[in-house]
Amino acid sequence: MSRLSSTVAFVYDFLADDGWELLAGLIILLPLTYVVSGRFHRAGALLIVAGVLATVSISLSRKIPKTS
Amino acid sequence: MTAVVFAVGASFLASCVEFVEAFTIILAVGITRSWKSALYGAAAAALALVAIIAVFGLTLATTVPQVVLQRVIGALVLVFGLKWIRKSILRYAGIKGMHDEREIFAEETEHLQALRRSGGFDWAGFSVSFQGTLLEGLEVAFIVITFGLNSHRMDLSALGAVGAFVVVAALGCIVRRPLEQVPENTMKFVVGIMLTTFGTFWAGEGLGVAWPGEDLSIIPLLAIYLLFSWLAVRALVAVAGASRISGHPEKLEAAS
Repeated sequence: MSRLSSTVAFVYDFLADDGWELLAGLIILLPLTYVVSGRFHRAGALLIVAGVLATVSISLSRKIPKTS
Repeated sequence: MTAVVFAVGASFLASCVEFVEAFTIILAVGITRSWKSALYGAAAAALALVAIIAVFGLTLATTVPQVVLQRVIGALVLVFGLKWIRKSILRYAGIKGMHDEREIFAEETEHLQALRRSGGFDWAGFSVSFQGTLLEGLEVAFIVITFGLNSHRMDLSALGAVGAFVVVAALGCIVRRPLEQVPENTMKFVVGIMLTTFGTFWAGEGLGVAWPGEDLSIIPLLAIYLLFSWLAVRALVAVAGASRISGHPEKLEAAS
């Protein structure tokens, strides 16, 4: 029971600390990479790297303080 | 060969981070409660960890197809790596506060001193030490199994973790203080980049990506993430500086 609650707490902390932004990016990116890799030779490599960079960039951009 | 070298290095660095955190808790318990309860708690957690590694390491290696492992573990490692990279970039840009082991040690000490010590064996100290070591140790176990399975050298991956334990333990014995001397923020930044690199590579392999140069593509991947992180820190520092100049420093706190 305590193990279950600690697991739930860990997942909650992860998501509450904006981890959901990263998860959302990967949920879109990884299946897309699977499809693209099966059809286009080596395009999957470019897609997964670009997608990872885009995921972090989007997450970081949400942390930029507004100056207006 | 490249993957093996990186696996040992990554296992060593990632394990160092976890051992530093575990030793902070053990030191806090030892100094404020009793060394007996702190060390017994850590030893009990270590025994539990050995059992977990023996059972789950073997199960994972013999019953699950490698491609499934690469997908699942790659995605998990990628999530952890991205989280660490993002946090590190925000810290170096001054948007998020630096992670301070001394502060953690002080908080832990204060919390433990507030507890009443019961007669006989100090079960409270034992429990805190056990839980802290088990939690951080499970993360080390995850790291060892992950890097071991993917590099097909569980022995070298475990060796990296053992090396990290020896180094951190020796440092801990020498300084007998929270291991703030170890530049944890820098280490987390490096580990975050390594985890993201391996996560991308493994998840990609599991998803059918044809990496140019196969294992050698790990090196350019690492360079790309390093360059990206450096550029991101510079850009965020500029933005954060502009925000301070314009008189809205409070928004930095709100954003973090």
